[in-house]
Amino acid sequence: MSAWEKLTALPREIVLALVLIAMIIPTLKPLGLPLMIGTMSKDWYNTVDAQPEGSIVLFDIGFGGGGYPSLGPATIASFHQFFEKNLKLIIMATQVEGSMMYPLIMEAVKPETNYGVVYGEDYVFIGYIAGTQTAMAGVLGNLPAIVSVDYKGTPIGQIPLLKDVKGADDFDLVAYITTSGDVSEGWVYQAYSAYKKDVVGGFLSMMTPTMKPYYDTGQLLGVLDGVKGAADMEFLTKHPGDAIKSSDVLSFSQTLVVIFIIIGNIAYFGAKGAKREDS
Amino acid sequence: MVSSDLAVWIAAFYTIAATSYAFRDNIVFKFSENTLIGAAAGHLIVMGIKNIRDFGWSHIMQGEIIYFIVFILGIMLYFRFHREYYWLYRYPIAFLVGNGVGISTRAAIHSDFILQVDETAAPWTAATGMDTLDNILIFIGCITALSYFIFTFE
Repeated sequence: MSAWEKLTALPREIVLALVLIAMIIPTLKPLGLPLMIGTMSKDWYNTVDAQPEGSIVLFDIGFGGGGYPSLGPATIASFHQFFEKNLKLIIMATQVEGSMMYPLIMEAVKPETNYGVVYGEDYVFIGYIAGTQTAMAGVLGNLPAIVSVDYKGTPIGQIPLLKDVKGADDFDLVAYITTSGDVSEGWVYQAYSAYKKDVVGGFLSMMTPTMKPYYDTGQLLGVLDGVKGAADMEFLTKHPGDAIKSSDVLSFSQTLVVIFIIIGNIAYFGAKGAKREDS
Repeated sequence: MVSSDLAVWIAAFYTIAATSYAFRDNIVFKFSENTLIGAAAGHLIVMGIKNIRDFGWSHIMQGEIIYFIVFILGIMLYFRFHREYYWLYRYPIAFLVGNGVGISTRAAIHSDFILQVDETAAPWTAATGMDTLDNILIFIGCITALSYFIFTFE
């Protein structure tokens, strides 16, 4: 076996161990690699920023524990912006684990302490609603017909924020952050196409190529692209958190992966050339 | 700084345990997998009951008796396990499928077809050189992908 062939047959354990090392180094000692704010994140920020004080935002927590490390920081940074702008927030979950993420997010944002807002008046959590697009259509079509109590079991008639909210006409902005393709496309279909509402969406980076056409056609006014989008949001809202820390790890490990791809290609063609010479 | 929060340590343990599968299947990975399945199943059951209570039963309690139909359809789903009356489960399934398809299709045509065609057929020239290049690449990508799927036969 030639040196080139040995290089192409590098055991995956070695590759993974090197990637692991590349993740541990910036975790222990942050490198402070430069962060270029993306246009899509800036558009999300500007869309929310343009909302007048008191506007009602419908927000969907469309992820669970698996998505939290990537999307939790983006949600936290977004909530900081919503509360700083004095927007009213109606939070729901289209993913079953979303209701478990809600307390984690609120624990990090601390809206009562940091912004002096009141549950029920400035924000409310209506919990997980099954059915994905059916749930979206229901909430936008006739919210009181679908939701009779909030997540804590309080009837919506006793919640000041929900008293006058009937459906899509009462929402000024629809925002969501999700790991699900059905949820991310669903909000575009149900909120933008059906009601022409302003929609901003956040999702995993691997979903961005699928969702980018909706952003290009103006159906999504802003996009938070995975950890990168979350880091952008933390920077823009001036609330640095886990995403900015993670972006170093991401940049460092992905650079290593790119180097591996280059080495792999060189080795592949090198081995091919060596074989041709032998024959 | 080392965290004193137990939750952080539990999360760190399960992260490493789950990632260890990248090397090979092992007992620590299996432990994390089984814990996740157990916790997720437990949570699903609780949320299922909560959904029935909050979005079904609470309406009936407020006098909206039409919600009994939802309960009947839900119970009919379980006839799947009955040897003689298993066919009854088809009615709620038909309702779910019809409802789902109807709701998503009404907007998908606009979002996925009309607006995408409109954007792809836009003029190539844009404000910046890179945007112009983007438009040309999108056009070429669209034509080549369509040609592949339309003209490729087995």
